[in-house]
Amino acid sequence: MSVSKDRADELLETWAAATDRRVPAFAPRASRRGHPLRAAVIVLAAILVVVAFGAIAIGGYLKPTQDLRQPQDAQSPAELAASSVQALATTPGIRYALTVAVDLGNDTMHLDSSGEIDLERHRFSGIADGGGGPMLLFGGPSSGSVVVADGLYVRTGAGPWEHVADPSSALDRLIDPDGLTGAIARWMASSQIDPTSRGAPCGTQRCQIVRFSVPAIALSELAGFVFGHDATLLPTDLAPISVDLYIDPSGFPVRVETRVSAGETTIDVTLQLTRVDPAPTITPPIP
Amino acid sequence: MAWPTVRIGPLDRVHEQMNGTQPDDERRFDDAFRHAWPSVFRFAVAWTNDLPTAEDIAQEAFTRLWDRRDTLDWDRPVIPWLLVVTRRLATDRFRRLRPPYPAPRVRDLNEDGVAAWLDVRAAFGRLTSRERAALVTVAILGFTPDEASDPLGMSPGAVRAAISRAREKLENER
Repeated sequence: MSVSKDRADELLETWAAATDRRVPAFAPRASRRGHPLRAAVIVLAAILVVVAFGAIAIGGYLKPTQDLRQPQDAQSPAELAASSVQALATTPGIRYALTVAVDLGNDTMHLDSSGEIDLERHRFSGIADGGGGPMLLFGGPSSGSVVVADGLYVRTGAGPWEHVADPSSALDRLIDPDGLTGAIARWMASSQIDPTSRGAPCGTQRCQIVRFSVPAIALSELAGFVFGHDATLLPTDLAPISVDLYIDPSGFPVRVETRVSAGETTIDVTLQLTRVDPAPTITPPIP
Repeated sequence: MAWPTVRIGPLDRVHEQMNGTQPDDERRFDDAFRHAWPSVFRFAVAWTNDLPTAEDIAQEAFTRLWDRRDTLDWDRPVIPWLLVVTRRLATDRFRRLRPPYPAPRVRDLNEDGVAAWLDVRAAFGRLTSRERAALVTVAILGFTPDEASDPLGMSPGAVRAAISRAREKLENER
């Protein structure tokens, strides 16, 4: 080997030594991985959304057992809440609009979705956008009791409809009406309903607002039901959670609002519901 | 009812974090980061001849990988993809630069290491960026000229020629 070749190899060796670094920590931009406590807050908001939709599903599953309809002025907030579930039970269809806004302090996430649910034929269709572009959704027909039990189909962009073959375990739990009914019943039982209801305009009508105060233990139990584990990571600085349920003069729940916050993380959830009668016509996009 | 489950997909990830589990794609990303970062960093150094800039570019390359982690075909080797991204980032970075170039900063090296790096940097600075990248990809990262062809954006013959020229320039460097 010549002297000049040795020099090239020597330089390569020096170069290799100078660039031999320890692998650093990866820091995705804007810290999207988040802190575990932030994660817990987001999970709590997810639970509230799941519960809201679960209540819809149960509303379509339940049959009215008694007529709770009476003048709203004569009803207590607890009776108003109960009548709203019964109102869902007699509703052929629902139009919904959901917004979830997450503020992580140094990053934000946003989810918008709207669509229709046919509670008679157990189908739903909608559109959702979490920032990555709109996604079309279709669910049903169902072999079970709630909206979807045998398939979810998703379409993004101009692509084909795709069957979601392996939805998460939360779906399995949500298509268990008995389990979900029990979980929501326990949630309701452990929550406190503000004994004084308020009135507020909602659209062209005037709604009664029923406020639930949700204790952390109730959320923890719901997390256990929905996600199949004990939510032991509740943030220590979790702010008290209240859920406002807007009930229109017919007793139908038209709006659900809540805010979950801990530390710098705040999540606002708004779900708007409209009764659709007759049920919306939802045609499966695929054979 | 499936809808909320699906659209709360990112929240399912959060749940998995809470539950002490990690989604497959994130686990694969972590593995790829640990395994591929040294090669990506060195490839970036080869293109830029500058350590801090290379660190930035390597970070950006892995950020691109992170953003695509849930759609990437993880069954295919990820390093060639990362090197292509790194090359493009290095090229874009160079296009955006205006002389005078940022003063070099050297971290993580002791005094001898800094002196050695400055010497070798000057020597490698006499190579073209393609010659440098070809030499490092084959001699340091262990690619064959055929394997290095795609990441470098050069034909295998051009890779061999660039390596030959690079070695000749270094051999004459004194």
